[in-house]
Amino acid sequence: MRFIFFIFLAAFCSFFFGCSPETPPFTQKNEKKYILVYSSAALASAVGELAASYENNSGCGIDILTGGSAHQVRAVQVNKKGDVIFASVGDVVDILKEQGVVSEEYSLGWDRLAYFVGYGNPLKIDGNLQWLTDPGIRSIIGSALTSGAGEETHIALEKAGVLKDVFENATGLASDSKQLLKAVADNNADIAVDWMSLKYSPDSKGTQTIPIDSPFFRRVTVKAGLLRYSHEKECAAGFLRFAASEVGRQVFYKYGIEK
Amino acid sequence: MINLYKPKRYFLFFIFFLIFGLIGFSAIFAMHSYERRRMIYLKSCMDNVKNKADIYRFIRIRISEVSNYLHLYIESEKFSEMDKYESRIFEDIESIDNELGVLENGGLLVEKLPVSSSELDKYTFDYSYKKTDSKPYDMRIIDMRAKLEELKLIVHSYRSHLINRMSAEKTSDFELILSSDQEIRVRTKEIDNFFTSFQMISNDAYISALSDIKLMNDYIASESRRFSVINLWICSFFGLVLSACGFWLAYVIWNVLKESSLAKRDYDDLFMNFDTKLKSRTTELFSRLDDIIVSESNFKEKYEYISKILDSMECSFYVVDAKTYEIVYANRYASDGGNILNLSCHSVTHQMLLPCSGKEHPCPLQLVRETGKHVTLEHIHSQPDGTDKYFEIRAYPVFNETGDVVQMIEMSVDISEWKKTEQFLISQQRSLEEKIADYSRIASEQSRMRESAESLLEDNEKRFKQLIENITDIIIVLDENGRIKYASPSMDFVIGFSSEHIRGKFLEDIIPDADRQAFSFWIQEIKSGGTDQKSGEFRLVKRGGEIITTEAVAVNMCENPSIGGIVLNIRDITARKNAEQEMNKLALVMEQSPVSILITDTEGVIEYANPMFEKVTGYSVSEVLGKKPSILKWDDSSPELFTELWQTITSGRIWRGTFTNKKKNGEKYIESAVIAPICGNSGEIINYVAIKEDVTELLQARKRAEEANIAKSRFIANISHEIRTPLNSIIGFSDVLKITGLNEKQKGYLATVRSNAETLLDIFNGVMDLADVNTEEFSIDSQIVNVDVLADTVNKVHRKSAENKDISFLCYVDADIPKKLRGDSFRVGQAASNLLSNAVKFTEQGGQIEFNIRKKAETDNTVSVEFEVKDTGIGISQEKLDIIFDSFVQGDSTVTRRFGGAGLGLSIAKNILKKFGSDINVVTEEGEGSTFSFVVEFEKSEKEERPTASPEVCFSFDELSAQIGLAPNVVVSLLTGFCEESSADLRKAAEELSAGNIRTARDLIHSVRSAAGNLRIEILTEKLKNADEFAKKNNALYVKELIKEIIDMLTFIKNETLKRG
Repeated sequence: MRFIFFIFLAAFCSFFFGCSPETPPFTQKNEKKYILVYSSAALASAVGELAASYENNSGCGIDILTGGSAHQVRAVQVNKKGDVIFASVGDVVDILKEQGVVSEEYSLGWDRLAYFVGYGNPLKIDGNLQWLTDPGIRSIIGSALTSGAGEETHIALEKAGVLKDVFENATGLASDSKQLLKAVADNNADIAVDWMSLKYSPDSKGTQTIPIDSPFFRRVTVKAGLLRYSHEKECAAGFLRFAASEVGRQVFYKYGIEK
Repeated sequence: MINLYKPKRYFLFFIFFLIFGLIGFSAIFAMHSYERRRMIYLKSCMDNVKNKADIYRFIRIRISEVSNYLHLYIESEKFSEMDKYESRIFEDIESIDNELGVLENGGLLVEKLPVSSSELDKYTFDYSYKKTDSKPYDMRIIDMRAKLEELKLIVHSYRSHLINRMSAEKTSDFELILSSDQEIRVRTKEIDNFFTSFQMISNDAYISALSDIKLMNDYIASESRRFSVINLWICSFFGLVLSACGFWLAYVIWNVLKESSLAKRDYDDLFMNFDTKLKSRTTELFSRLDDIIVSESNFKEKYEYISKILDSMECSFYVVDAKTYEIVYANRYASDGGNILNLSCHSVTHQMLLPCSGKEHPCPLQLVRETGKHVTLEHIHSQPDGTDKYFEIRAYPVFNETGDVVQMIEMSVDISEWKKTEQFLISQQRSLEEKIADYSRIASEQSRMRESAESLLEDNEKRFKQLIENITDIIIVLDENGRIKYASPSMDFVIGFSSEHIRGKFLEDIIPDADRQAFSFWIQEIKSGGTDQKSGEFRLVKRGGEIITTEAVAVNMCENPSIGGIVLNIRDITARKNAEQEMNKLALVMEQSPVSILITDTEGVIEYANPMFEKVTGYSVSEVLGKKPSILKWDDSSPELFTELWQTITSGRIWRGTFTNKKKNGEKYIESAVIAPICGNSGEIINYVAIKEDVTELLQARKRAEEANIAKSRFIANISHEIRTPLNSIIGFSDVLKITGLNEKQKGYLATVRSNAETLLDIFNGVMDLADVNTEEFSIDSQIVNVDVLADTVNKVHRKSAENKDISFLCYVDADIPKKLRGDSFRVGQAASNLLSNAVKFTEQGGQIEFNIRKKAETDNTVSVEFEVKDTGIGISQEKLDIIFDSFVQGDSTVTRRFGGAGLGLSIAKNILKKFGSDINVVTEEGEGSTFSFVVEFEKSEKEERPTASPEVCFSFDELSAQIGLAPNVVVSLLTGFCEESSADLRKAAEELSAGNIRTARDLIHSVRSAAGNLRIEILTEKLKNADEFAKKNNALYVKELIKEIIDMLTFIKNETLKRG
């Protein structure tokens, strides 16, 4: 009887003294260290695959914020937070490095702009720039304000001297690469100027790529950098090096980033 | 007696009860307190989440406002308007920024919400938000902050162009107006997408906050339920325990009261009865005293009585003190009138100063003291006159309370006379023993001699008995009256009656009535004939009623006193008699045989010829005996024939063949002969027998018939082209005519013409096949046969017809049949095709046909394959079974009308199979269906076994890729995935079948079949269809075989895909 009594007393005490009424709900023991990764929409698939692989092999968790490259740079500058940035337009990483925001950077390959048209190319569009100014064609390009593809398109079209005409003819300016693809896939536009690598993306279903036949559309280096705001530097640097390793480059290559 | 332990225990229990109760109430109180505090905390969490959702809601509203203001800003025509909207946009941007700040870091957000249309009537709300997320960032907030920054840039980019436009409008600078408008237009194209994206982020955040509210609500509800359950458990636990304790406490109190009441009653009883008990005790003691006095008087009387008895004894009786050896009591005989009390026993009995000692004269007192038991001794007391007297001393120990020997009772009896008598008797006994020993020696000598004589006699008797018992003849001794006096043991196994059983009975009792009189005469003759041996033959009835024939030899030995009767030696000769009869029968058969029979010796010299031989050849038996059969030989007969004949028969085998012979009159005739050697018991050839038949007329008739048949077949074969050509023309031109614009009636007539022409061609083809089979040119080819291909070829012809009639067509090919065989696939296929054609023809719509090919047997060089065609058609009645294989015959005339056909199919198949040395086996039931099967033996093409792991599945990878419409690399992954998954599914299906779960197995097969159908792998689909159908019929064995085959195919496809892809 005494034994039962003491057992009961022990259980009673552990229950009432062990539980605090102000324990927050949904709290779980999570030892993971999380890092925030900015990624261009064009690189989202590759970065997602790398992140999944890295998470499995390390104790780090990775949150990926996708969007246009210009928008991502702005997010870094305004918030002064985050750990790693992957940009389709490597120039923006260079700028951030000049500003002292990026402490370590890697080139991951290169990409170029191309036309995206409906599958089967029903309008028989070729690589000529005139298609963008054709009033009978619904064209869409990226916004220079938010999108890396948009910024690069602006530069090329400006050099080609057709920027104003293209703007005039465009049905809209998309905020990132995915919106550009979506417009063509949903048949809201006949032609879009977007990164060639996106033809390997699942979002490119229903579209077809056509190389742009113009010398002003250059190859653009894809880069990644380590941000100095990083709180989990070890995780962030580890992930960045993993992405820049041969394995990481193979993944990027798989998603269309040329070596 | 009062138990003082119990009250202590009860007290402790009561204290425990109080403490436990106190703990129980404390626990319930603490639990309620905890629950209340927890709920208050959770409510505050809920408020926090709600505030977060509200803040996100405000952000959404403000983004919409900014969007509206931006459009108004773009459309501003005045500077004042422009400033107004610009300031509002920036106010909203600032508010959003504040709100994001609160969400990011926590804090208080003061929000003024309008309550009327007046700008001044605003109600202030405080939204307190506490950050709970452990992460240092919130992605949505980061994104929105960047968007706010971009929004500011957008507004600034509009500003210069708007100012330009408004300035140009004032100055009427159209070029500037146009360029400004164009710039504004271009920028306007991006703001819709921008705000859509912004709104999506804010919506996402708001929805996430609403989801958090729901989660929190659910959590609170679950916590509330949890607390209720815990409360219930605690209350129940304490309630139950306290109730139990209460009951026990009540029980204890009741026990205490009961015990105190009993103790009081006992005390009262004790006090009240004390006097009464004292009086009764005194009375009892007085009564006991009286008893003691009475018993003392009795003891005294008994003492006197015993003293008298002891004094009257005619032997000495002493009581001796064990320590001092002094006599404390002696009877009158012992004291002999003197006083011997207090004298030592040895001084009285032996007149010695010391006690007796030594082995021959031990002291009884010492022995009694040592052993503690009574002893009996003999003492010799020397008498004064010099003689010795023998005394038997009996001494008994007397023990004190502690078990020590304190006294000894001693009785001395004079046994001197007894001793003398005893010594005399001993001397007499010794003389007697010596005499007995002498007699025994003589008797044993005689006994040994008798035993050796008996042993000799017994050996002789055994030998004789074994002789008698092992002879197969029956030896019977009859007494003068004819009763059986002795019968040997062979009587038992020859006649069935044991010798003991039959002894004393008459032998006539087991002789049949017909033979009894003859037997009596024979016995009388023996009796009167002296001692001569006489033999006779009579029959005996065995115990089971069987009659045997016996031969007996009898001797009259009545004069011999040791036998005293007639001795009969009887032998069973039934077998010999039967053999003689059989020989007679055979002789008759040979005599009366319709064929000629000749028996020669090993040199070929005729020893016997039957009458038919005489009749056929014209020679008499006496003429041919001693001669050789070559006297019949026709002059032109081939000598090789006879060489082969002699080689065959001398090697012990039978020869069959025909001779051309001549009769006595020189006439030529042809004989069919069978000549066989006759072997002796040791296996050597002792004779040859020839059975011959004159077949001259038969051969002539057969030749005539064969010539006629060949002529018929040649005629049919020759006219086949002449008939087929116009028939094919009719069918072909019917098709041409059909497309020449005929009306419906004409089309009907044309269909009839075509149908009849087809029927005619069908019948004619059957006739041709039959003719083909019957011609001399029919031959069986030997070429490589693949049973799968054969089955496929035959199936192709009939599957479509079956499906047109909505008949389920199943085909199973045993996987164990080797791939490469050698045989005539065309002819076998033709036979199978005819059976299948009949099955399709006679099976009604919705029926089922199975075409099964199984391995029946296998040797080193051959494989027997069974082809089975099973249908659910009309079946055949047992009466018609015999005629269905005849040409132009069908089971019933109504069948011809109903199903058509010429009735040639089975006849053709049977004739073809006859050429293969096979036949058609039929199992049928009218109305239920029929099963036709035949077995064909194929030669093995190669020695090795059939490789089961590589089934031949032909598929074009590129074609498949094109059909599916996917890139080759995708097809590779698709096909390999399909093969792996399907194999796993089919293995599972096989397991399910073994477990008896047909439905689950069929589901699995269905899923694989539909996947194979989608991939257009037809052969696989076909097999799966078969498997499904067999599974439906619960034929697990076939399905498992098919599954094994399909899995092999899948493995092959996978390997091929990987190789080709």
